[in-house]
Amino acid sequence: MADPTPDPVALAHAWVAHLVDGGTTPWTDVLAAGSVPGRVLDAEADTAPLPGAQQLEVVRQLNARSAADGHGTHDPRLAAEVFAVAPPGRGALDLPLVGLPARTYGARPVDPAALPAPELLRVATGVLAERLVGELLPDEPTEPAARRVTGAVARHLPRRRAFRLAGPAVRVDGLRHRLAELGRRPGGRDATTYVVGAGMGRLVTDAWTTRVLDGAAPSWPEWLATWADRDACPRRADLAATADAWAERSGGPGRVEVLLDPGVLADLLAVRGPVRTTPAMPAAAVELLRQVSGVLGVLVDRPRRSRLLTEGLRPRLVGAAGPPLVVPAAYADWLTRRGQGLLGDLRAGGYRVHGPTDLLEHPLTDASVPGVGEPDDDRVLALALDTLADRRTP
Amino acid sequence: MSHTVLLHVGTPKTGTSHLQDVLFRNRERLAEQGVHYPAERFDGQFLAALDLMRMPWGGLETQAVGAWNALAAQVREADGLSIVSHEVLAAASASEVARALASLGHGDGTEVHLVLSVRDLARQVPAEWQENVKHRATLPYGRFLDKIRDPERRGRIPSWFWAVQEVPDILDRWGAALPPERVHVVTVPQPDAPRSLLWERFSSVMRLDGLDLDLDSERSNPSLGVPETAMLRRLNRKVNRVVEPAAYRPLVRELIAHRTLSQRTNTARLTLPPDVHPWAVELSDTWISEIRSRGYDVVGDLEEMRCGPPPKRYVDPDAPREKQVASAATTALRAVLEEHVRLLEERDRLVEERDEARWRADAALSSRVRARLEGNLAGRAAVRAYRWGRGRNSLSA
Repeated sequence: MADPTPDPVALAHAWVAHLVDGGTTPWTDVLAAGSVPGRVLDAEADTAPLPGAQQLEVVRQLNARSAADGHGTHDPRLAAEVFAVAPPGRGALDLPLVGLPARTYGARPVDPAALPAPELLRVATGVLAERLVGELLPDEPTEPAARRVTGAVARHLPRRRAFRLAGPAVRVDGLRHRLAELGRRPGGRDATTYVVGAGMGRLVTDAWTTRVLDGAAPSWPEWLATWADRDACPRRADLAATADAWAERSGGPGRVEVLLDPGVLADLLAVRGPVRTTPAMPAAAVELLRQVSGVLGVLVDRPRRSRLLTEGLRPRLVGAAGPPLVVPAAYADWLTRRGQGLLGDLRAGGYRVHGPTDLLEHPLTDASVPGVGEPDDDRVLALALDTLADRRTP
Repeated sequence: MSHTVLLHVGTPKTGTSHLQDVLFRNRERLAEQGVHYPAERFDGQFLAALDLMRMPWGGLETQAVGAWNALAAQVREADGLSIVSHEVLAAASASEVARALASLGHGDGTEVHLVLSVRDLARQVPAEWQENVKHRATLPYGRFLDKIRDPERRGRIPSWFWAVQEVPDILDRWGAALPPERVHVVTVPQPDAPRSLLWERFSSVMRLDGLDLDLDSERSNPSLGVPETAMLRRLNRKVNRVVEPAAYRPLVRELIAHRTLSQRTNTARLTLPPDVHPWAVELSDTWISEIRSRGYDVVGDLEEMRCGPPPKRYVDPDAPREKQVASAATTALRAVLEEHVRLLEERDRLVEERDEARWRADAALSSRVRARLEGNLAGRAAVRAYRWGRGRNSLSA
């Protein structure tokens, strides 16, 4: 039978121990019951400061995930890992638990289970960033010497349907990989440069994703509003500027072609097998990458940050469920104006354009294609916790 | 191993910029006298604080990677007295405080003293809003006051305000592991006190009394008047999306706010509105009682934390006199134009310098080539052929 008047501080310390052992009981249940499942209260047991309510709730939710997977895979390191990381950036400091002796100052005590997702996300992204920094990345892949020599020679030899790909990395990397699987590698003298694009909406979201993977990025709504305010095309979405740069480098607009549908590459390069770009990442995954990137910015230099995001975290998010990001309908006018401007620039530049140009002239927004106009905090938090609970290496 | 560390953790708007500038500019002189202020650049300790707290700061944080550990290593290696000072440290969480103290040698033979400089809330609240505006905020004053007085404290602005201004809580976080006699609360004198008094207090607690120091400071964080702050807030709304933080700092914060608008000292100063003033008075009284009960070393007088009387005339920055705002705007525009002209002149000077250097290099090269060619028969023939080919018989000037 529970102590009729348990010391709330002793109760809180017992609850912390319960969480460290993989417990999932919410704090308000413990407070109401006056006891912690399976524990005897000991007022002398612990005098250390209690972790913040945000950290405790993150541990509880992680434990709940372990319990739910049915394997009893509680990882005793997890709680220590979470408690060691203060929520990074600006936001509430360690929040006190409701039910403890109140002070006349300080933040109002909270029920951890009622905390808003952004407060828990600060903790989760802080832990994820620390974990990534502690991981060893594989060395940058280097080509064997023999391949380097033959590659250097091949670059200067004429080759049938020689090509190279340009455009946002999130679009081009997958294509390059797929073509390599089909036995086609970029390069060769007089290669045609294919600038890989899409409809104007997808171009913008790809540009945003690439920006996130490159390093620090403002929030999606802020970034979008900035470009709309300037009434300009985001730099990474400006296919005409990319085409111009390659035309200057490779001998004029005749050497550069623009693909609005990368599927046409199969015909252009005469490969057997479909060539498709990878589907857009879920909005929550891109937002998680962005928030972790914000923390990594203080922990590592820029090149390493980009590698940790691209090679460390992104592979863990492959296969995550959820709708992709789509430009909100409120930006339809800007998007249409930019798409039409881009098409005009491409035509004025004399570039051959493959694929449906109406996707530039009449771009789609979240009113007409499946997706969300803004990432949802709860989904981002769920993905962050799933990623933290899963210790698999990519 | 450093024997004593003085760790000054805030609060903002209590003369910290002046103190840090004096310490930085005198760091070599201080080191000769056994006092170490480890910093390679003026904002070196600020970067260290950002690193400790994993705090993004408009891109500056990328320069802060590893800065705290480097600072702590310098402190641990120094002998004598070391000083660490930055006001954003006030916002450190309990675990960051524990890490900071351990890294500075606390518990390992080093005597760590905490210094917290404090000022009454009637001056701190408007100063914090103004500081937000100087960091790109567009929030009206009234909304700011509502947010910080909301007990929920939801959002970045109230979270930050209380993290760096709630004196008893800062002392809880930073002072919990230290005996009260090693916690020094420095009060900022009331406005009518002699200007030198605050420095005298810092000097005594930092053990700088009697040291030979140059006290002329180049830096401070000057305050702005009501129309100037109102103008700046409106400017933020216009420029936030087109001016990146790295450009905003030198152009808006430094040039417009600090170097230009702060010179206009004859306009109304920011104060608390009469209906908010009693709230600040009551809160300050609670804090004074709390701090007094803890037995800290008070440098100055805790009574100075009490808010003065409400202003006789309140000027609302959310409804300023438009004529004064326009005047502030034209003053700012003039400063920007002057700076633009200065940069154009500097560009022209550099272009001229570059062209001259290029001409000199070309002239030197052709002179060397000509001398070499004229030195042998074949060379002379080649020069003659070249001149003939150019259609004239002498080199152009």
